[in-house]
Amino acid sequence: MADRKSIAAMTSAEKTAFANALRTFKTTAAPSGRRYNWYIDQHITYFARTNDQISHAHQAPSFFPWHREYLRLLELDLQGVSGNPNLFIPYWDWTQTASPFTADFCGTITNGSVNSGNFSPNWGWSIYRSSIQTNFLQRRLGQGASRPTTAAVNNVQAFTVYDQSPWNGTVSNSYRNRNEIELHNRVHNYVGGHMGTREAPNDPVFWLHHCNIDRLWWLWQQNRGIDTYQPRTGTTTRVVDNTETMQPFGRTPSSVRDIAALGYTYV
Amino acid sequence: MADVKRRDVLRYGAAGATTAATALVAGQALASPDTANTGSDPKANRKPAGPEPEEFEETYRGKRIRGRYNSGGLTSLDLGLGALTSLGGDITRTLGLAGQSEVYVNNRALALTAIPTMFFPTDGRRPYVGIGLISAINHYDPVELELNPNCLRKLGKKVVDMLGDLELSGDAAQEHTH
Repeated sequence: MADRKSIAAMTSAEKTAFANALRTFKTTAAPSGRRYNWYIDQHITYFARTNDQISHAHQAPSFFPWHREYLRLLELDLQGVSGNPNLFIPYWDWTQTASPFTADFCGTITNGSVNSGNFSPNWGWSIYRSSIQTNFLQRRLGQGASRPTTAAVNNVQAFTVYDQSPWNGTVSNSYRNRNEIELHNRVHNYVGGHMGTREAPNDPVFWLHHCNIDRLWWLWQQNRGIDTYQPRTGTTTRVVDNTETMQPFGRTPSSVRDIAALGYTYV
Repeated sequence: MADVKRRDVLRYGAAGATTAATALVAGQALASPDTANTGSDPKANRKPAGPEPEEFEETYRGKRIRGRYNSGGLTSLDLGLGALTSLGGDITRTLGLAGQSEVYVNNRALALTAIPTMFFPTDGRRPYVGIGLISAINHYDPVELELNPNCLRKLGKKVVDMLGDLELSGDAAQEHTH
């Protein structure tokens, strides 16, 4: 069982362990056979509508469960490459002051680039499939957007309907869509640089951000019900129903609805 | 809640028309002098479907933004709100409009994708639904489509702002759909 902590509660040793596990995974296959860049490939592939005419990862109901499984696999792989079964993905609550952009954690930024220390090329972090021509991880903090406030988060969390037709980015009364656009997208744009691109997992803060998104969904589930995914079974084309499989994982939204069953918790 | 009124239905109609002009094919990469791809130009035999495309070019923060806006002759297409939203993420493919408009930054191609999405104005207006343009660079920050090339200019400037001193890579020219 992984206890996922806030970055504000992490010890220096835990930050170092997380960063080093990512670096190791960048060049070393996990026991699963996966490598870090596999995750970037999947994000690019499943951000788009695939040949099955389904949007698996974004602008669709499966946004939450797809990323839940995506993070769970990464957490297992990091545990595997590090040999540390207690290693966890931390969450970044961007409404608070604790920052992940520090020298001992996700790396500092000079003129928009991480060009020394953690997650720089010399440290051992290479950029993969970048749409920006650079070897350095890019960030533009605050240039494209501000961080969501606590009030904005509370407003989104108050939506009671998980999702509804037409199941895309236009649905107003949808917890999934409001979270995806107002919180998730906004933080991608707040960090900017590679986090604003489709190859966003080049930035390790991607995982901290999505861990917080997953935590918010879990908090919402605890208020609204764990088995509340919409659409249910067999009624909707071009989106993933509750019992249909999400690619490339082969798992259903229903199968990832309970984080306790997946082997982690938020503390 | 989103403010969906007659104005927005009209916005949809306009956006649906301009969607034609703004989805970009991978062939754009082939046309770019700075990309490594080689091969024949898939647009070589393509005839414009509608009004003459409008070309634009300007320098912004030291980078040359150029492109071509093509409405594809679909400006009279009358799509109601329900029809457009029901197209979902497949709107680009459904309208069959890919590959008619172009944006380059310093002669490097940028593939564009149209998505139906909510917009959340920061000026006090209520949220509304429209068609957004995204690319590999502004993947989470769509630029709203308009019935003129200004939307492509805005997108080009946004991308330049995000690039800073850097340039697009060949990956930015890869098409994808939503």
